[in-house]
Amino acid sequence: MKKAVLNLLILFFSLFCEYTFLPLLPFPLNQLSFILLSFVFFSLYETHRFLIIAITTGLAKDILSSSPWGIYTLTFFLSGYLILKCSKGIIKDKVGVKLAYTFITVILVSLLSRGMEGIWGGNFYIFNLGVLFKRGLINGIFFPLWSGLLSWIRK
Amino acid sequence: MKRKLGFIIILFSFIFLSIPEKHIQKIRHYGIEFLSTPFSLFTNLSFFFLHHTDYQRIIKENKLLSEENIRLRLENSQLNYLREENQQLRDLLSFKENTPFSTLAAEVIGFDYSETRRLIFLASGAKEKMRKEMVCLNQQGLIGKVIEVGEGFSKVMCINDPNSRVPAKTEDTQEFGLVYGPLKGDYLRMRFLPKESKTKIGAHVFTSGLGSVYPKGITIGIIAEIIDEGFYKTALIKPMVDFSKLETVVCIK
Repeated sequence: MKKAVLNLLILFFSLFCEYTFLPLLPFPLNQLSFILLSFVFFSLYETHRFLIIAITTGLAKDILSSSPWGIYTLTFFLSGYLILKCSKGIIKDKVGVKLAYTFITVILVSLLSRGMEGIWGGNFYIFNLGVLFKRGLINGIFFPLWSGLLSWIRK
Repeated sequence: MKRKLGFIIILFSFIFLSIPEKHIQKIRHYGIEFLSTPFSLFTNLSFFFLHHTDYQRIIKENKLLSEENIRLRLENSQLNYLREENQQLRDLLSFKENTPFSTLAAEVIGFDYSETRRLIFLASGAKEKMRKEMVCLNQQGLIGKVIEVGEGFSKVMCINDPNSRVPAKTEDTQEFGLVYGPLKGDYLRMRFLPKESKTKIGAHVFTSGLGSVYPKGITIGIIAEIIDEGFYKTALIKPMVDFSKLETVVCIK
């Protein structure tokens, strides 16, 4: 129970950071997505709670975004499910593995949400793969630090 | 059990996705209202650490000054416009009168900046007489327009959002175009300038007043590059507003 509350607090903290001061920071810090980083962390290390975390994160993003309702809940659920399936039998503590997971999740969440927004919302955007790649890489590099911090907080 | 739950989530998400936006808006509004207090707190704290020391005094002063400054700038740019018009249409001006703008200052409490979105959240809503399609600006220039209003908050689509379109006019050649939010990069795109356009790099771009949402004469930015697209020209515009330093905006009706 104590851990679940702490997880929730971490998620809300990430959400507030992402929607308040992170976009104001200079490059490359403004490319960070704390909510995605926390989500990857929980998907990797809290596999038994992944369902509730995917729903909470998705709902929070759905409330704040202007995209059709449900896009992020579905996106986070699908990405979390994929991480869960792919991370079985892999040593998760290696820096390279962490980087790869974050990189893939950032790209997956962007592509899925934008693809669905195109289908349901009628807003088709050109996929700027260069920007997406850069964003994935920056978040991937930052993730080991973020996961270290979260592990320390949750000890 | 988990598979069943997963199936239920996917099913519900698809159902949610097919519900029209107007039915879902109330849930969103309650959510944002609930989150607006911690948002405001976080934003104020971050502004405190990022920019200022004597925060409260500067905020109050800034609010008053920016409101006054924007009103004066608007009047000034309108007067400039009128002077130009006066030269061209002397006889018509005698019966044309402009209504003064009434302004409403609002605090920025959050940002939704991604590759496909450039929205800001304001702490003022319907309670403060905020309305949809109100135009937001600051002392630097045009910021965007209000697209959603809740009881105690409102959402503004910035001019650098990919969905934004602003009818505009160049300062030097008085040519009309449409300013699009960029899909990549920081520069706005002013499209549909005539093929024979002689507008120059460094010229200012203002709102043209066409389309009835944006009043004419508000500064958008400066032309940084001109591209020949074949049938028309496109100008890349560097916005006057620094979107990473928005603290207070003024909305006009």
